Amino acid sequence: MMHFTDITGLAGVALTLLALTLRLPGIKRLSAKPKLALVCVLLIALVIPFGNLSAAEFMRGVLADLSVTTLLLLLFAQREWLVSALGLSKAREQGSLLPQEESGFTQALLFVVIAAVVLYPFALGLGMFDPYRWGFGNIGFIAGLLLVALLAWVKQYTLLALSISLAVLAWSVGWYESNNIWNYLLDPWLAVYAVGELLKRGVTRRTGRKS
Amino acid sequence: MQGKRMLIPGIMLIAFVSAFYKASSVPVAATFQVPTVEVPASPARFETHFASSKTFVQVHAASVIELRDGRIRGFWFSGSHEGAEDVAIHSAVFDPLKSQWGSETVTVTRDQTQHALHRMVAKLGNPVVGRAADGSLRMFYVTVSVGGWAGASIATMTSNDEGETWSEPRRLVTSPFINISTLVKGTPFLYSDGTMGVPVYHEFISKFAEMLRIDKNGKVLDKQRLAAGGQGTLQPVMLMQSAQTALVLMRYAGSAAPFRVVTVSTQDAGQHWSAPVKSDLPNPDAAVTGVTFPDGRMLAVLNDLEHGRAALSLMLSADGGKTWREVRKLEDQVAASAQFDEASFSANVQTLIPQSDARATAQLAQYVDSTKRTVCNTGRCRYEFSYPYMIQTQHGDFHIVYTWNRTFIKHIWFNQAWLNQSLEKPVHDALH
Repeated sequence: MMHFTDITGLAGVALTLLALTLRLPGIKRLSAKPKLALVCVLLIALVIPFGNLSAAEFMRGVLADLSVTTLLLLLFAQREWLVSALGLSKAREQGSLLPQEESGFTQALLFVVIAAVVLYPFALGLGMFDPYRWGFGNIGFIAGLLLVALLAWVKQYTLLALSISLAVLAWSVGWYESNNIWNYLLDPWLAVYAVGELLKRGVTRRTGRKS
Repeated sequence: MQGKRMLIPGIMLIAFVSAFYKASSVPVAATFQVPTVEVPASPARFETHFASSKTFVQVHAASVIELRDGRIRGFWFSGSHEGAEDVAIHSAVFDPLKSQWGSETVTVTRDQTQHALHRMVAKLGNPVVGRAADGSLRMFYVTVSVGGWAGASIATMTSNDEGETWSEPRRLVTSPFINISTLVKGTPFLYSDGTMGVPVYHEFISKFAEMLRIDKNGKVLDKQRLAAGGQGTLQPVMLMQSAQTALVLMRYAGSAAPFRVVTVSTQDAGQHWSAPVKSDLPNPDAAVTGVTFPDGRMLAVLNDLEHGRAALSLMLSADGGKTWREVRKLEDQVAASAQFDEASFSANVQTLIPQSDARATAQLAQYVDSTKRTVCNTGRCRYEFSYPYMIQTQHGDFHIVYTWNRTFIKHIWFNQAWLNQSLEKPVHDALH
């Protein structure tokens, strides 16, 4: 029988591949209902084994389990059509089900970049200090995350507050194989994306000002 | 609207209350559990065997564990060549009463591993086994999905029948970077609270030794760095001296001479480690192994060379690892390495094989061909005695396994009486 953490890990990889596929130009322009149908077909294609492995299992070997923050940001990126396809438009009109653009996307990316700068160089061997060790349940580290999450909530950076909280919650309940909070907070793929996206936004803003 | 406004703090509250609760249940630091050894009086014994029996395969990275009935179970990886898709973890059992290894069986394959882990796995390696606090065996072995060994992760599985059958492998998550680059080679050990210590090492971008602490369910509780990246330390081996003190020997993979085994030590059961220092023991970027006697003396097995792996020595330290003396050269083909052509190699190996395992004489031609095919390339043959792994049994006997020319796993069994006899002989080698 499949372990719970394999189901969650594979689901994360499958969702990521789906979300990336939906970003492709031809598919991006589809309306909500055909998009939902395509998602269902793709999902089946991803989880059916070809030979010894399904596409999701193959890619899990390459990508590893994706952080909760990655999944939340991917979901956020797909919010428009998801709300429409799932018939939640009415609910949306009444108030935000998913955070809106202004509610902390940039701050969430900034948090990822800062976390990556703090974590990766040291975790990969720079000196004797290894912040990854904090992730195995260090009380001070969790308290620090609580402070950042509270600050984000007060500042109405909803996406950032939600990312940290859901990552911490997922760690608490053992959502993935990892017993380390860092693996729930970020992954290298997200870090690379965050750097690229922030640079792009910076360039766009600068170009906008000039014109 | 008020409900939605309170949704985030609600999630936050649940998340952090759960997290603090989980963090409060993380085990506190524990002391080392020092194995007990009782040595009965017995005549001196020194035997050598081949543990593996398959020919025309490459074998490497052997380890052994004492079973409850006093037999010894060995593990190694075996396949067409290192890193090949057909490489699997093999096992066999040595019966000291019969002085004989049983037939070789497959413990786990690459296919089984990737099926159980639900992810692509390209190759396997380095199995080591420890006995958990509940008496079961826990195996750790290396898996790679993409790239070379630097991209490795560790899989673990358990056995409740002394290694006859195993649970499905599970993945240890030990790194924030796509969970890559944690490898295992050293002997696992127990802490006083029943958690298990596993000496591991990192190879991606920089090389450094680390220590994992695993709970009874195979969850990683802690990972501690033994040396900084750039110091070239690999494959740590714990030589436990007491509940609080231990010396760690590490392979040196750096480029700065002198090429020596690097050591670190602890005085508080691993809460803090000393800065790494180069010992007097030569090291040609090759694995070492060692054990500590109940009286504090230490035995180590290593390539007593700065370059190459054509010799392997048994070394002893009576002063906690400060100085070492050679007890015996287990292998020495340094001089023979000058004659590297196939004819000279074959002639030499024809002598070495029966010396290593008397039973191999019956299949001598096949064993020689198998060895030649593994280590000779374009007319040049290279001797390799590497990856030693040593244990001491409850009755004080020592078992060493190591890679013999990548063709066989060689096993050496000796007891305290033989060691004492050897130590009484005049020391012809200089003290290191």
